[in-house]
Amino acid sequence: MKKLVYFLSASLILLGCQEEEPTKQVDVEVIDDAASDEDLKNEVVYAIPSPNEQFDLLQNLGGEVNTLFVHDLARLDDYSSTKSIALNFGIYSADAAYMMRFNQGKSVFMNYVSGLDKLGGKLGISQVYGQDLLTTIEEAQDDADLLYDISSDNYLKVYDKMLENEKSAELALILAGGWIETMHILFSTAGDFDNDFEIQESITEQRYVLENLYAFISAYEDNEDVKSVLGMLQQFLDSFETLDCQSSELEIQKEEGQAMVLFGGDSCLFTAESYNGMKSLVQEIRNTIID
Amino acid sequence: MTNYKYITSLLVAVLFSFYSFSQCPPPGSVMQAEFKEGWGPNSQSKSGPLQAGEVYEYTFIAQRGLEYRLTALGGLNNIKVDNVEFELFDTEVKKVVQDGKPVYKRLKKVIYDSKSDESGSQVVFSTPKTRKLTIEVTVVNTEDPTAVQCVVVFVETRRIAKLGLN
Repeated sequence: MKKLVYFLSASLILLGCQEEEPTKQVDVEVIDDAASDEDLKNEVVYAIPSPNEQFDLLQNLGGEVNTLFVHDLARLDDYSSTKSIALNFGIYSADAAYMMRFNQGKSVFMNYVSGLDKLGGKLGISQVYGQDLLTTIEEAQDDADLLYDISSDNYLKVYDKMLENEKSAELALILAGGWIETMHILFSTAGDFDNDFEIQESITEQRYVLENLYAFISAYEDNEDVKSVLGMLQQFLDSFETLDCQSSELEIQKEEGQAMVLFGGDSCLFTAESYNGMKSLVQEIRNTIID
Repeated sequence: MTNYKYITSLLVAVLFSFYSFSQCPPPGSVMQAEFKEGWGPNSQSKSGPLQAGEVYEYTFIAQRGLEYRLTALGGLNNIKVDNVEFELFDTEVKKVVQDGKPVYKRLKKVIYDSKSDESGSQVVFSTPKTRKLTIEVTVVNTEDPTAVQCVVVFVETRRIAKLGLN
């Protein structure tokens, strides 16, 4: 049984009170009963959004592109071990998704496809980036939405191909590299603490993605490369533990003919210290991967 | 009901007798996103083998600002919505009394249960902030209770239009 420390708002603690109480935070211990029957499940599957979906959200939040944020494609040949190839494959894949979401055009995409084809060849997944894909991109001309869709579709193909080829450990490393690059781009776009509250808030929500990513990758921890990457990700989990979090009851709003809307639940905030701490951690770990 | 018909018509065309059940078909070959209504496929769709009566738990991330449509399907030779039941839930912290003392517990809160839905095939929702949700799928109707079935959770998303002046 997992125990967590959470701040609960006064409205939850003073259950049954009709009058609105002034906001007060109390540090309480929470017993995680929802996770306690995990052992009874036959299988638990963890999923995370693709980098494309993450940058879709970034664009929706008003983020703007800065091509200096991405990793240098000229450094493709610097990587020779399976671990560094797979992690950097993840980084370049996330960069490609970012560039395509922010409409950087066909020739930029072609450069990423060529680069990923080269790296993918060393991981045994080069077929995904073959001539067919180049032809599809060529035919898309400069249709930004179509190029983005091709990039999204390609992510799924790589994912399926790696599972099909029993390269789950390499896939785990790619996903980790992709997530770290996504965090790097999110922090770089958000800028300094309190510069962009919406993007900053979305970074706090990355803890859910990280939890699922960690759980997915843990299945392959017998692999030494995966084990060392789990150590990196654990540092992020520890960093998320330093956030100020509140929990409120989940409210389900449903109006006739409308989709359900889910309100409430957990929300966390950075302090200047926790924000800068996590931003530095992202840079430090990303540098160990790309250097 | 329209959605139900749509899924049924799709599934009629999809017979999986050619599949070896050591490998379930990828979700995209079982269902297609309904592009005409603005839905697109989400990378978090999953498929996998499951024994009848077992529970398949699937945890995914619902991102803020998107509308989600989840469809659960299952089967042996014919993968369809009638063969599974599913529950979608989140967790919340509740104050409860345990051994005479108040304690705070994180408990499951069911958002949708296909058993209490007439069409029982899909759930559509949105969330103003990102959250981690879980689906539990159980195979209920099966041609062969001893055989391994395939279960598919198909996830579609579409953007929610922003209101207000820009």
